[in-house]
Amino acid sequence: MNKFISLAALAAVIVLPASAQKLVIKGSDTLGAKLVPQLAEEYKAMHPGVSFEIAAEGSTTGIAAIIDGTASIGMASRRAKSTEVSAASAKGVSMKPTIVCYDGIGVVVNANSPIKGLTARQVEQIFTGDITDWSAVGGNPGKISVYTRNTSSGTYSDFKSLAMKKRDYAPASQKLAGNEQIVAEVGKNPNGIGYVGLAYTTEAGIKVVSVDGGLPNKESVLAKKYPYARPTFYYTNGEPTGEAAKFIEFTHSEAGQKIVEKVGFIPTK
Amino acid sequence: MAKNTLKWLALLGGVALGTASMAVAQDSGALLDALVRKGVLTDQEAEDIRVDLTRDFSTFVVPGAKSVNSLTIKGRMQAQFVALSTNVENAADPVSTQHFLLRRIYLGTKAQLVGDFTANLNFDFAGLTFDEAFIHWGGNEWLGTDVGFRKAPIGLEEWGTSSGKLKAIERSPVTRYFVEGNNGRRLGAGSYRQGVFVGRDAKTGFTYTVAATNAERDESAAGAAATGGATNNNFAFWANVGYAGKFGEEGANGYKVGASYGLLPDQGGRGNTNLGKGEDIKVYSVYGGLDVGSFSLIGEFWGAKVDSGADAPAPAGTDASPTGFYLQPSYKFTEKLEGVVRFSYVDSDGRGVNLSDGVRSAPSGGTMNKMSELYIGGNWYIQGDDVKLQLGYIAAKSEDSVSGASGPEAKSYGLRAQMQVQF
Repeated sequence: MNKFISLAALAAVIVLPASAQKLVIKGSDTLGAKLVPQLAEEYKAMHPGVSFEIAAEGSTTGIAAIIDGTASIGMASRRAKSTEVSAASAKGVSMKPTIVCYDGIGVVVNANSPIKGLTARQVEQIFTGDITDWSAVGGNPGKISVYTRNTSSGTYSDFKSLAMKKRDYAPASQKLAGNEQIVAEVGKNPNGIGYVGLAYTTEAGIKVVSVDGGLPNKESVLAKKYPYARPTFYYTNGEPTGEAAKFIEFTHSEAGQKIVEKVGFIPTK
Repeated sequence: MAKNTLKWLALLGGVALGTASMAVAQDSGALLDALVRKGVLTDQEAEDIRVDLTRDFSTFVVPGAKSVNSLTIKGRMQAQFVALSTNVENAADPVSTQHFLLRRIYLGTKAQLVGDFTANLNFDFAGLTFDEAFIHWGGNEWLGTDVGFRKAPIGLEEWGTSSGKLKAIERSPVTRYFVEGNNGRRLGAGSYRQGVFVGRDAKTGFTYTVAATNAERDESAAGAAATGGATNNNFAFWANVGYAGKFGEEGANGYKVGASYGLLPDQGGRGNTNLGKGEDIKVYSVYGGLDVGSFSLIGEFWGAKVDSGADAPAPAGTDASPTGFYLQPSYKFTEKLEGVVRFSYVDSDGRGVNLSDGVRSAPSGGTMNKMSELYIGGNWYIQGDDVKLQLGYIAAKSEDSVSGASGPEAKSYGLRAQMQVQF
C-alpha cells in the first residue's frame, strides 16, 4: 500500500509539471517586442502554470506558423494575404483573425530635424526614392536616408499599401529587423526617416511628423482619419480554444486593454 | 445569418463591379469599410467576413504531398521579332531572316518540402526542352546540393545571368560559341547537363559551385532519360568561384569578380564524330561586373583548348585554342529606360565560326575563323524584368579562313526586338 502511495506521489510530481501549458506565439515585431510580452507577464502572474514562447520576427512568420501548426497564436500587424489564406485552406487550416488593438504607423525623423510635417504625396515620394534630398520638402540640404522594415514585416507591406500606392521602396532604402532598430538608426542620423508603430513613436532621439496635417493618436486612428491607421491581429487556426482562447480573452479584458494603452497602442474598447 | 447575408452582399458588390472571383475579397474591402463606418458592422465582424470571402472565393493549388511547405508556379514568355540580313563577300547572299518567333515559353514549378528539400522543374514549351529539373538540398549554406538537370556552372552570362535578365536580349556570340551545342564549330562546353552540383549561392560575399555531370549537353526529353554510350562515358567536371561586394554610401554600388573552369574528357576533336576517342576539351572563363549609380559594366574573357579541334583543312590532330571576350556597358537614364552597348569578339583558332553560331537567327555567312559583333539597344522596364520591352541593332562580321588566311568576309546586320512577361 505504502509502495502504491509512493508511486502515486511520484507520478503526481512528474505529471503536474508536464501538464503545465506552454503557449507558443510567433509573428509581428510591432506586437511581439513590447505588448505581447507584457500581456504574457501579467497573464503568467494570474496563471502560474502557463509559460510562453514568444518569437517576434515579423507578421509573415506568424501567419506561416499558424499554417504550419508551429504556434498557437500568430501575431500580425497586417491582414493575411489571399495567398496565405488559400495556402492555409489547402492544408486544412482556417485562418481566424482577432483584432488585438489599433495602431497608427508614425512617420519618424531625427529629433533635431526641422521637418514638422509632410504631405502624403511627399511621404510616398521619399520612400519610393522620387525625392532624395531634404531640401525638396523644406528641410536642410542633405541626402535622405530611408529606413524601412524587412520584407517579413507586416508594417513593411502595410506601409507600402497605405503610404506608397504599393510602389517599390527606394533601392537605397535600408531594411531593418524591428521598430527599435528603426528608432535607433533614425535617432542617430540627422537625415534619417523611417516608420514605426504607435508604441514606438515616443522613444528618445526621434519625433513623429504630421501627414497631411494629422498625427497618429487615439482620436485620429479610431476615427480612421489618420491615413496610416490599421488594426493589428492575432491569427489562430479556427476559433481559438484552450489556453490560447483564454489568453486572447485576457487581451480583450479591461486589464489587457489597459496594458495595450500603457504600451502605446489604441485599445479596441 | 446576418453575417452570411452581408458576405453575399459583399460578393454581389464585387461582382457588380465586374471583378473575377479571385479579387472579390479585396474589392469588397471598400464595401466592408463603408459598412463599418455606418455602424452596420463592427471592425471584428468585417475582418471575419473579409477572411471568409478570401477563403470561399479564391482558388488554390493543392500540393500532391503532405510534406510540401510551399508550391510556386512560375513562367516566362518571350516573343521576339528578328530582321537580320547577311552579305557574303564575293558570293551569293543567303536568305534574310524576317520573322516573329516565340523565343521561350517557360512554365515551371518549385515545391519546397520539409527537411530543406526543394524540387525545381521548368519546361520550355517553345523548344519542347527542359530548362531545369533538379532536387535541391539547402540544409547547409556552404554545401547547397543540386541533383538533376540544370546548367553547368561556367561563365557570367551563362551561369550567373538568367535569360530573363539579359540586357542585350540574347547572350553574347562569345558565350554562345563556347557553350551552345557542339555543331562542329561551337564547343558545346557548357549549358544544360545532368549531374551533381554543390556550392554556395549568395548575393554578396564568396560564392562557388563545383559539379560533376554527364559529358553531353542534351535538354531534350529523350536526352534527359538517356543512359549514355561510348561517346560520353566520362564525366565532365566544372568549377566556378566568385566574389561580390558592395561599396559607396549605404552600399548603393556593387561589384563582382569570378572565374570558371570546365574539363570535358572525350568531348574534343572536330565535329560530333570524334567524341569518345580521347580528345578532351578544357574551357575557362574570367569575368567581372561593376554597378555604380545608374551605370553598369560587365565583361568576360573565354578561352579553351580543344584537342584535335581544328577544321578539316588544318593538319589532322591540330588542336584549336579558341578565345573570345565581350564588354557590355549600360546606363539607366530613368528607372524604366536603359541604354545598352555590347562588343563581342571570337577567334576560333582554326576551328571555325559561322555568323549564326554567335548571332541567333542570323543567316549563315559561311565558316570563317573570327567573328565580332556590336549590339546597340534600349530596354523599357515597364514593370522591372517582369514586363519589359527590348530593342537592339546588331552589326556582326565574320572574317578570315580557318586556315588563317585573311580575305573572306561576311557581314550580318539588322534588328532584334523582344517583349517579355514573367510571373
